[in-house]
Amino acid sequence: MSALIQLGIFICLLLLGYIFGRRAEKKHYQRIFEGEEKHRNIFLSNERFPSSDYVFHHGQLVCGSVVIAVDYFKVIVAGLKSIFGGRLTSYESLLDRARRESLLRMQDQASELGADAIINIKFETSRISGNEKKGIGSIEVLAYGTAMMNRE
Amino acid sequence: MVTPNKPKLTAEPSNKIRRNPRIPEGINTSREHPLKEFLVLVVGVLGALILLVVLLSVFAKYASPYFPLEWEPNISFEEPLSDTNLPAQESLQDILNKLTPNSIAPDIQYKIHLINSEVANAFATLGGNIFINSGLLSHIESENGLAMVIAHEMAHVQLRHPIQALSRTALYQLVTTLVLGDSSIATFAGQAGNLTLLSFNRDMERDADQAAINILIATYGHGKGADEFFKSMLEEDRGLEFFNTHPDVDKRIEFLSSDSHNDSSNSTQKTTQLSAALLKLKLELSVPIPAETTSIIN
Repeated sequence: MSALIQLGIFICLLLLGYIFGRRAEKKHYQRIFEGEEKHRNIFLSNERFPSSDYVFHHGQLVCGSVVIAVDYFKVIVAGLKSIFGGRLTSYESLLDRARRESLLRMQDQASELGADAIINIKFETSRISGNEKKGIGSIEVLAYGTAMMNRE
Repeated sequence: MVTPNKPKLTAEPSNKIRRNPRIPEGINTSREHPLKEFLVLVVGVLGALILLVVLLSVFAKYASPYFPLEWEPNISFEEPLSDTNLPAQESLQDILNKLTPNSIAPDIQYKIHLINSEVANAFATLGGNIFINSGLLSHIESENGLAMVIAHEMAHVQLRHPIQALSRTALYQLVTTLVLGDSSIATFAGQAGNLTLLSFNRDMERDADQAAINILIATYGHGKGADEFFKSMLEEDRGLEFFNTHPDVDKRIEFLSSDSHNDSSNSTQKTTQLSAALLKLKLELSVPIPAETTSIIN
């Protein structure tokens, strides 16, 4: 009987993780698409030095940071997948969202400063709380760069 | 192919507005539905686990006869009631002695223990130890009913079921721990494995029932009273068979009554009375004990 209860709990967690995780992902991608459209004029580049376009601009540090946690469904799918190896697609979409969201947050900041572009963009990723055994995995994605503002 | 706007190599500032390109979707992520991948993985892993359990069970079944019974550790983890109720213990031993010559392995040294517990249960463990809970007596009417239970546990020992169950569970845990480690998948694998192992448990119970009725018929000349315990247990709801260690009680009764030796119309077949010591214990158990005296009796 205890096996039945444990199995039930497992399936419930899996179902909850799937339904809410999937819903959140869909909505988030929608917001990302809208944000990218909105900030299309704040040019993003990883060039280290400002090009000739920005001769009359001055720079300022801007950054965007996102902390994400993985849902139970994604953990189980990734766990099953890691037995055989291959693409962990359930984590790929999660990290893709985190990177793009961090860029958007940086662009939000740049847009408030009235910037035309952000150059020298770098990404950094760090694990939160060491992600102890069986804990929920969570990471931070940080994007930072130099916002270029026109002096005139 | 998306071509980024190349900066001009002139010193003059350009008035051209640089815009971010639209990135094509589905490069860094997968377009595949997550459920599809999940289903493929679950079916694959479950199939592998079930195959593993089957292989280990077959291995345990065929390897166990080569492992002498004397090598099994002598497991006796509960305080037997025998100190306080020697006559009842002796009566159990008498029934056991009566049954032993008729079993398929008469040279096995069984050790029978009476446990002071209200739960109606009996079990066999490593080293030929058989445990009978005193609570079982309230479900039994005659010596034949009790003999059936003892014969059933004897059959488990003869067929080497305790060592088989232990070795396959230990091997299964060893293999899954080696492959999966201490991950959330290990819990999933454990549950899936347990449910499959249960089906082998039920097979064992059926085998033991079959062997037990043979011992009973060889001893008493008939199988009357064999279903006493199960009939009494029918009143309890045990849930779905798939999740249980034992087969459904109705199926076991059906099996016992279908036996040709158990002819209820034959009046010459009579069940044997329980011994005086066991009857006394049964009566003591059936009378509700006043709360203030429990501690003295225990």
